[in-house]
Amino acid sequence: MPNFPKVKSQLEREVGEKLRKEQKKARNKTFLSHWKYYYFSEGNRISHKDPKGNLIEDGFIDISKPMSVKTEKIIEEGHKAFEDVIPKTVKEVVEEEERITLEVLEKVTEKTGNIINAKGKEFHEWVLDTLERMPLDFDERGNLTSKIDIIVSPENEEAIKKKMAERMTPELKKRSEQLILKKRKEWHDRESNRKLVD
Amino acid sequence: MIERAIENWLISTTERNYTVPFCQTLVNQGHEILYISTHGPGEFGKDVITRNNEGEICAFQLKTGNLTSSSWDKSIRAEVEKLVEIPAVLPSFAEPRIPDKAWLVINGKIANEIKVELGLRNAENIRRGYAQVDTKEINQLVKDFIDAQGEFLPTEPDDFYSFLKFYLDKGDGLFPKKSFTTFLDNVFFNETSGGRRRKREIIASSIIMTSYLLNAFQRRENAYAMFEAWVCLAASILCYCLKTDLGERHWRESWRLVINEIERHLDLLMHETLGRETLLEGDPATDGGFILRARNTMVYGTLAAYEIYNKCINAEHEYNIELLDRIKDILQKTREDPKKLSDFWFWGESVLPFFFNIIKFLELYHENELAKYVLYTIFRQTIMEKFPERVNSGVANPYYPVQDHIEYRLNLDPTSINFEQFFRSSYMLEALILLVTRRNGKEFLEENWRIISHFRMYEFIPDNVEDFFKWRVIEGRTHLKFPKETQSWKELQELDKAPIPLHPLFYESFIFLIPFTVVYPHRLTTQIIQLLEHNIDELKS
Repeated sequence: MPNFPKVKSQLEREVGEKLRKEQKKARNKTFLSHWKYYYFSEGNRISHKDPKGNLIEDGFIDISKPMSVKTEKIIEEGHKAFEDVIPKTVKEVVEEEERITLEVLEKVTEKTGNIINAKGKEFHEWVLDTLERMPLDFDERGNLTSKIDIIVSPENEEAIKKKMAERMTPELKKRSEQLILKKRKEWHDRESNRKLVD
Repeated sequence: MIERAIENWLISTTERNYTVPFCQTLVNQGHEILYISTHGPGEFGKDVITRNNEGEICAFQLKTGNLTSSSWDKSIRAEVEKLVEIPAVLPSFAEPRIPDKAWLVINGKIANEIKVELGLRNAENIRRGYAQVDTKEINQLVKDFIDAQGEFLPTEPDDFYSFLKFYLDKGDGLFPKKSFTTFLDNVFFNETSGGRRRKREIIASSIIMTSYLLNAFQRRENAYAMFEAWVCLAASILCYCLKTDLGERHWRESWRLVINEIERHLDLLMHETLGRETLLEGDPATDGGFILRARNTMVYGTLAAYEIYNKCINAEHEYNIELLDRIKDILQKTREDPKKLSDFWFWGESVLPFFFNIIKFLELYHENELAKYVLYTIFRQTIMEKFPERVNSGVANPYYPVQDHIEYRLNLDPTSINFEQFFRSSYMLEALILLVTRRNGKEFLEENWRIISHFRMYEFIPDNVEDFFKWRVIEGRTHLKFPKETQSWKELQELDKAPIPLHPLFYESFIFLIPFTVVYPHRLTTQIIQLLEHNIDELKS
């Protein structure tokens, strides 16, 4: 059949570009926006050694959603028919990415025991309890540079936002100031230890 | 259709380009290749000398085009006389030997009157105790090549399309390594069943096909592309032989033919480079700038590697002073005025093999200060922000070839590389740390350790050791590690001196690793660099 591969390959690039832009846009609306994406050119696993020297290997998880378009729509609209379904498909993929990322985080925190029971505690109190356990980074001027994400279910979003906007009690405010000082010192000690010694 | 392609290629190519596939047909017939002429006219009329499976010494003179009375009278007659009368002197001969058999091989036709004269001369040759000269013309050559090609032809549409793409390429660009290695695997090396004979046929066939697949690059005299192509084939053959456990004696002859082509094209590249004042190429309106800097880095880095390679195989090899002077001139220019853009370019981690070989070449000439300057410069460029005007951008890993960087810089494809993903990550940082350690660069590492300690260091480890020689591998893991926050200098020194944890295969093939890692930069891992360092340093003594 007569075909137009040169044109089609250009269209393929454009659709691919649109897909990538939509994916970035969708991710930027979620906690994934703070996560770096790294592309691996070969291999089917990643590995590292744990503090005890044991080799830990993880495979890749396939995250994909079908993108289907009716034949009649393709006949009618051409490549635009695919462009129209991109936002919906991308949204589904990104939701799946969020879900799987949270699953992995849960597994890791269970393994390391980095879980805090917030029952009966005030919002700001458990936030401070959590920050207590985390290494925080600062810049040379002492400003906090770590990005902190609080991930909540959609049903709780409004309630949490309200809690965040509430003023801290004087005791908790003092505790938070002391915590920042402590964390800044810890950061400074960590950075000072980054050196070549004899 | 493929047969027509073979014939079409044979008719239009030169004897230099059909020498190796012709030798492969001889290997298929049981010959052992003793000599292939690499520089200009053959040794006293002999372009190829072999020993056949009856122990007879066979000599071949290869010619291009049709043999007419004019060229016969002018020079060929005299060369054919030398072919049979002058003994060959080879290291494997106890004493000089005249050939037992001789051929005049031509990728055209021999005029009838010449054949008549040859017939009469042969009678005289036999009377005088010399070999008679047999002839092989285009039709016989085509038949030999088609027979050697065997059944190993592209049959899948994609592979057939690839075959045509290579054959009809313009031949003036970089060699398409990814599609070529995929083609080789699909047509030849994915088949691992069968006995030794079949495996030898597969290897032979791959060499024959590669020869005419490179038709376009041969025509454009694109020595760099040809060098890359033959290295890709050599790597694929090595991977295949290791995977199928084929004993070395079954592929040694074919392997040597491929190595011969690698060396021949590097010789051509050397000759061309030193014969030019600048390396501007093609239309100057679209050359220069990053394109020229990339070319300078690739060419001088590759030629530095070739000098090292030559020294490794021949301790008597004398280094090329002109090449050294060219490299020094470029580097001195930058040192004198650091604000001036160097004529070399550190585009990303895939550049490391070129700079590594330049460093080693300078050191072999005791230009240690200049070598250190290169090393420290690329080290700093690895750990600093790639684009100071952008926050959190890093240096691209070795899987991004120079073309991607040129397209990015010239805004031809600004999305080709996402530099943010490389921030504080590196495939080559560990190797650079050990290179600096080996050169007692404690102060340099002290100055930079705080930044270094923030990096993630990656290394790809294939599951099967032979897959190291593949362009891309699915079965394998990318290993992540971190430099120590507090690092002992003594420990680094001990690491440098410790035995390198590598499969013995790499020690045996380290000389091939020199050109191999130039063409496959993502395979220049920390351990491979250490292996090359240690072996090359032995040349200094």
